[in-house]
Amino acid sequence: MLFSFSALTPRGDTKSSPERFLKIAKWKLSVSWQASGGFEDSLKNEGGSLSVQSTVQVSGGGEYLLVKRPGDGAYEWGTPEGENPNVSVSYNGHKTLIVSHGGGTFHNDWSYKGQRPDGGSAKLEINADAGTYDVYAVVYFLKEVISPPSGSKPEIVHDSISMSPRDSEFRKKNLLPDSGFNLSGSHEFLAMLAPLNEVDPQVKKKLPLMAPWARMNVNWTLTPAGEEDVEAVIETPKDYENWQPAAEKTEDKAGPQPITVKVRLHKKGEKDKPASQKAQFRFELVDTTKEKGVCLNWPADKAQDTYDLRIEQDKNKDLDVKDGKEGQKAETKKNASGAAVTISCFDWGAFARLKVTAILDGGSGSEVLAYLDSDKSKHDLEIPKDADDNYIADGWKKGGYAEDDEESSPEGDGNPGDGLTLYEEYRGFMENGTHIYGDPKKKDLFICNKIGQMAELGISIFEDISGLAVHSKLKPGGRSGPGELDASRIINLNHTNMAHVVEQHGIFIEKGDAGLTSEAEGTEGYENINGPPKTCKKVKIGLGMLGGRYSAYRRASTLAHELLHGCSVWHHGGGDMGVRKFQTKTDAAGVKRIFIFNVDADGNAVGAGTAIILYNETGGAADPDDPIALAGFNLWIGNKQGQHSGDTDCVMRYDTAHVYLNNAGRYVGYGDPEAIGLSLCTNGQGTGVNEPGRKPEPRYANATAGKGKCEKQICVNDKYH
Amino acid sequence: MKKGMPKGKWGLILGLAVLTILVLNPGCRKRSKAGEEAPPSEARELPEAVEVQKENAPVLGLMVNRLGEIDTYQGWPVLVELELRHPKLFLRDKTVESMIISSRGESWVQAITLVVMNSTDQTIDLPFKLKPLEEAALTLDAEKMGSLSWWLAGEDTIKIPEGDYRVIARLDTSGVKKPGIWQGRVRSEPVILHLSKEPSPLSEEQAEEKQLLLAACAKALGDRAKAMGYVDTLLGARPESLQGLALKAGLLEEAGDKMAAMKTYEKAIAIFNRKYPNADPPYGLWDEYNRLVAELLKK
Repeated sequence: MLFSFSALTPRGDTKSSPERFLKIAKWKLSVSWQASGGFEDSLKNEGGSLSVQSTVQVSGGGEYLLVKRPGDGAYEWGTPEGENPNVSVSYNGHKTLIVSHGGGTFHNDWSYKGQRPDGGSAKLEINADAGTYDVYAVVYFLKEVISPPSGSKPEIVHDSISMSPRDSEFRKKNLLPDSGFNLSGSHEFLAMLAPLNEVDPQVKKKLPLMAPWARMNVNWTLTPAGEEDVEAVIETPKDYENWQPAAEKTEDKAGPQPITVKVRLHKKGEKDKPASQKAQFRFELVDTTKEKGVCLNWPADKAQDTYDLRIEQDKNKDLDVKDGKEGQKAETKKNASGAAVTISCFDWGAFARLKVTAILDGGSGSEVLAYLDSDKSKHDLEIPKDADDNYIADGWKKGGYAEDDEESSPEGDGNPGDGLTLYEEYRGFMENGTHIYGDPKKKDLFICNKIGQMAELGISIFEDISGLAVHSKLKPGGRSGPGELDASRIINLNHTNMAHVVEQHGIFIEKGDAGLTSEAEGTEGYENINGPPKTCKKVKIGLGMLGGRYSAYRRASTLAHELLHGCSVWHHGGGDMGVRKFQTKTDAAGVKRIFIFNVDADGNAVGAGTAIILYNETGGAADPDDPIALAGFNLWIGNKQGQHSGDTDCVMRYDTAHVYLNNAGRYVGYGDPEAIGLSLCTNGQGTGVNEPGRKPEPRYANATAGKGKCEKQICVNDKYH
Repeated sequence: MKKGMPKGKWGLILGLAVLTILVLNPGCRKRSKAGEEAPPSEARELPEAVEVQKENAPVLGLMVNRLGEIDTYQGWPVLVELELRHPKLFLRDKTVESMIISSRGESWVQAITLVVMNSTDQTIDLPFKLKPLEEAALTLDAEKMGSLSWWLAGEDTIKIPEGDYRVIARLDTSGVKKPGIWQGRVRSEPVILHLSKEPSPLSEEQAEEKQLLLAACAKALGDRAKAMGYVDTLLGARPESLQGLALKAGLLEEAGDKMAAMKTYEKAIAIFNRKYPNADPPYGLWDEYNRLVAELLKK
């Protein structure tokens, strides 16, 4: 047979010189073919008219060893004399012939089996200058008729089947590949098969020489020969199941836990038998992540998007890193039967796939792509192990958490999540110089406390009553450098290409104005609206009078109150009457009475005021002759369903008022300080002094409709509100 | 006199407790005065060697001028405050085991050490003055905590070289052999002072802060008249200084003039409400004011 082909090998990005093909001493040519065809004809001869139908089906294949020929450099197999018998060919054929002539019909079937080649030639010519190659082969068989027509004897016939394309121009279209040594392809062409010379003798003399046409399909592969048949296997690294990326604080320094991967050659199909073959190993990291910084909030400025996993030269003395600091490709300096690569990590969310190719020595340069010892069908090792393809190390918190932002604890206002995807929680954050992960079970909140210990107690109370996972040790920026929450307050600032839903904000805690103000300062448009952290520019906290009293209990309650404003929680109500002055004045009848006045911006009484009785809740009333009444005093008056209403243990409730307007429209004062809330209410029901049924009456009653239920208002997800 | 011991009238004021809180345990390690050359670093055990926080250990919260880090100037007083808390103070879980703090001396305060280090990690002596406490033991639980405060007077800070200083509080009860006493060593996070030469002239805000510190320090150390002098100077220049008004109110109350104190707080609250209409109420001012009103009405 003779074949040639015209397949085009795809070109890769990296080209190697075509001259490399000429260095190969021997090639192994593997070929398989299938042909089917036949003919129909009718003719007249001395016997009368003949009608002939023939169908043919042939399949087979073989392997040839092509050896470089001195002189022109072509590679050849054998000679017509069979000097080079290094070929094995299989041949299976079936022919059907139906001949009708005169009044009779011959219908015979033959089956053939190829026995051994009986000569022929095969040739490979490489034109390195043109970047093409040309290959063909012709082989002769001794065919055994294994299923002769009835009445015929089995016999071995010397046959000279010749298969050749009619158009040889395509030979010139075989291009040499840019990389590797594998020359392979397929081609389909029309070929003339051997003449029908096994016809029944009675008929044969009446027939002309007839050769059927068949459509021939040929597949071929040329590989360098003379090398051991080996496989390369990537060994599962030690503790691969649990390995997780870890980075340093600086982007140019590798993390503390590099991963080392070994690869080795073994005899093909015999995993435990080391190969004597040596090779150069090429390690390539592909699909490597390039997330900015080392984690989501560090560094906050000038974060680089360099490769997160790299092969560093100084950690791989036996390798030659081919792409410098990018560190994505390296090759062994010497040929060996095995090699190892150490991969450094520069990001807490790093991911890559490692591919290893063994380039066999012996001059051929043929390449074997390594497979994983855990799964022969896979040729890249995921770093880290990531069976569920979410770029999260399987070894991290083996919990099967939802990949979207779906935490439901605490439930809060029902909006799920904390603005951070599972990947972001995994990639993590820098807190007080140390990397931390987010909590995949709970909603996270990030706080940068600029005032130190004054806020710590309140933060711990806030975390306790809110149920949030609070990360409050973010370092503020300052003279020692940038902080862990920059001015943008975006905690996932360094997100790049991975799963992300929203720019999630943290909260600053700062010293209140004049050292005394406490408020959750809203961003533009949210000055008087409580929303998630994106709406809270900062929480300001009064530090108390320097050197004076400032109870830790009060401080903790205030801080928790303001932080909760930054998490969408409102007061129990509004509309308190607020500050009024009470002062003794002589009425129109000349009687000294206590009057109530509005106050100006300086707290002074304005207008004529209204005469009232300021009742004491425990009995009696304020005396107009009391010196303090004569001097006047200001008190905060609270209303029903106002800021002082609802659960008295809740931090969101005010406790400043000392006067309320009772159901009879009288002003009722009290001297005992009210409870300072240090928990979070679950409903708007009044408790303590606000409890329904309290005698003489609930001071401020239940919270305003829709308010209270502070626990059910919490939202930290910047995607909402 | 030992290094760091109070001199003159401070010695009379502070008494025994002062001996124990003036910087490091004598004899434990070499120390240097501010600005002196320190021994080689390998010869010293840095106070950070003690763990900040352990499981089931008291929390030591240290503040300087109520903050974690301050810029201050030579000649300005410095206030250092320490809170000792049970780790579950005020939390919902009330089933906590009390921690009783004591010392080998007469007061639990003697188990506390204040350590100051300069920018080269030299441990130095500074004449902190402690408001004396004489309780033998301090009980920490879900409701109770302890606190201490030290002042470094302006006449002391003026002698301290410019530079950065870290202050750490340590609690060491490991040698205390009394039944039921919490035993162990724990330290606070450091607070940072950036000390430099006083600028000239001072901005209005700086001048206010300085007068406040001088007044608060004088008040804490018992010199009410001096304190009132600083406050009046301040309020003369900045009559709406809320901290100044609050401090004056405190001084008036100490002097027995509750009505004047009440009126001063009242003024401060009014100014606050005018200046900061969106802020939550100034609870510290209201607490003091409401208390005084209630007391005066009872009369």
